[in-house]
Amino acid sequence: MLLELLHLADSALPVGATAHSFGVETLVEQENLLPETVETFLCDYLSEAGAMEASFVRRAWQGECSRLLSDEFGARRPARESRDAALKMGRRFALLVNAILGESAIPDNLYYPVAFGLAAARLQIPEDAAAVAYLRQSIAGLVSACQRLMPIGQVEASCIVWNLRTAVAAAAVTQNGAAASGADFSARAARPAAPAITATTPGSVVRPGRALSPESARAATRGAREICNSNPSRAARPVRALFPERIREVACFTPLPELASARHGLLETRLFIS
Amino acid sequence: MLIDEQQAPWAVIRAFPGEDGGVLVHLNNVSGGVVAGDRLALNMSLGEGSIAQVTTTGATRLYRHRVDSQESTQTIELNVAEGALLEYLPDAIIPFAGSRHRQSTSITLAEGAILMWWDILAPGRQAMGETFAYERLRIRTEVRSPNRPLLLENLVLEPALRPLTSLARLGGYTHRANFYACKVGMPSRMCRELEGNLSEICSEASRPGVTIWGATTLVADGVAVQGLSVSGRELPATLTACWKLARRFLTGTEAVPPRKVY
Repeated sequence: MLLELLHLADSALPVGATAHSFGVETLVEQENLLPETVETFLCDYLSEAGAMEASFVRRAWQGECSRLLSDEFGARRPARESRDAALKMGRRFALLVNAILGESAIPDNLYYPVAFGLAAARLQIPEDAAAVAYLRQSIAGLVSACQRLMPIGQVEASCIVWNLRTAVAAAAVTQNGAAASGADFSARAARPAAPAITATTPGSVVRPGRALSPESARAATRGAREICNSNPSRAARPVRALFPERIREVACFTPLPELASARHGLLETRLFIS
Repeated sequence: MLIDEQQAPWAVIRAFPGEDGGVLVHLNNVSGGVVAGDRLALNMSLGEGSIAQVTTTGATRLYRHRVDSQESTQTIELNVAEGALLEYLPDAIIPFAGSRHRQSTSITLAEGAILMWWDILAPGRQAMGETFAYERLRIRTEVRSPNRPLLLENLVLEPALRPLTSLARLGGYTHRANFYACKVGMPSRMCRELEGNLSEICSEASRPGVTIWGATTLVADGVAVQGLSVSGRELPATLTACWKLARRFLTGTEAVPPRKVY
């Protein structure tokens, strides 16, 4: 399990992460993101966008319908460039994982955190570890982008990533007010049930922080695929009934990075795609 | 326009006939603002092919809440039927020092429905030295088409706990504005064209450090314009310019500004 996790969460995994800055390039160019403020910026970014993305990793791991989850993620990322980047990375990640496993385990049109959570469940990587690892490699990618945009040395960059480990761990488990706010976008929308999961693992509900048995992991992956191939209009029960411990949507307020992403195309010269 | 039920402090006096064949509706808070424990709810449905412009008579002032008082809430549910056009253009939200408020906006669009909506969030009463002095503001927003969610937002702003001045949040800016132009079924090619047209306005209006704007295609069926500024005075002109362009682009008709001065 550890080797599988290290492989998937390697920031050098060829999913295209090095081509994207998710708005950081604009922040450096126009909004005075400086080497000495990178760590603070990323710490706050983790507590907002990081916590939100980790919640999608967890929900995918828990077996929510990956297609609907992906739709939801897309609607929560209004900035097109960053949204497209997350989709491209998700596609490449799915191709890679499917090639490694020799099977079509991950649908090919999912946003990155959803694909990552689904792959972690398939590989029996515990949910908490998957969320932490996802954020750690994401933050390593952003620090790498900062290195190419600012005078930050390798040792300094490594120190930044190291210093952010507490923030990464916190963001991976933080609900940052979502539970208190009662926000729950999915509760109002009719969602398909998860027939494959209930059919193949009767009476069992995936619990946060636990590893799945190999059979359950395969069933969860298969179930997610079957759900997504099914007709949404045949919705039966709300997903909440099947996943009583599902994570409620986490709050996220990052207007400046989002706007920076939307304005990225206006930069005269660009090192990154997003 | 039919009013099924209304109760103070929110009231709609009457609908004014619009120049475009639709109606202009003013939402009026007769108490002057939102106080602790207020439970405001607006439920509005537009019939097939109808046109409505909905605005407020002034800013939504969120008054100071006593320590032991309940937070105030404002719940808005808007349903736009096939081929209908809703322009929802409220004034800014101004959260006073010590206020705790929860706002939930849910907009459901049918096939071919058009939505033009802006919102403005001020940092508080700046002239009173109350910048980011509110206690907590929760904003939940969802816009859905029959096929998928187009926009989902869940914001929890607690300035004392998580500084809004962080570059990961507002940076040096104090005011936030959004404008959304959606038409269910609009091809992605048209979305990108509208994004490009709105980006030109955004580019002209932007002065980094003072006010910045950007336009971006939503996941489907629409475009969002986002703006940040150090002053509320910078916002209405750009929002109005974006609205006029989007209205012409999506309907082929001219926008009719509400009877008020921005």
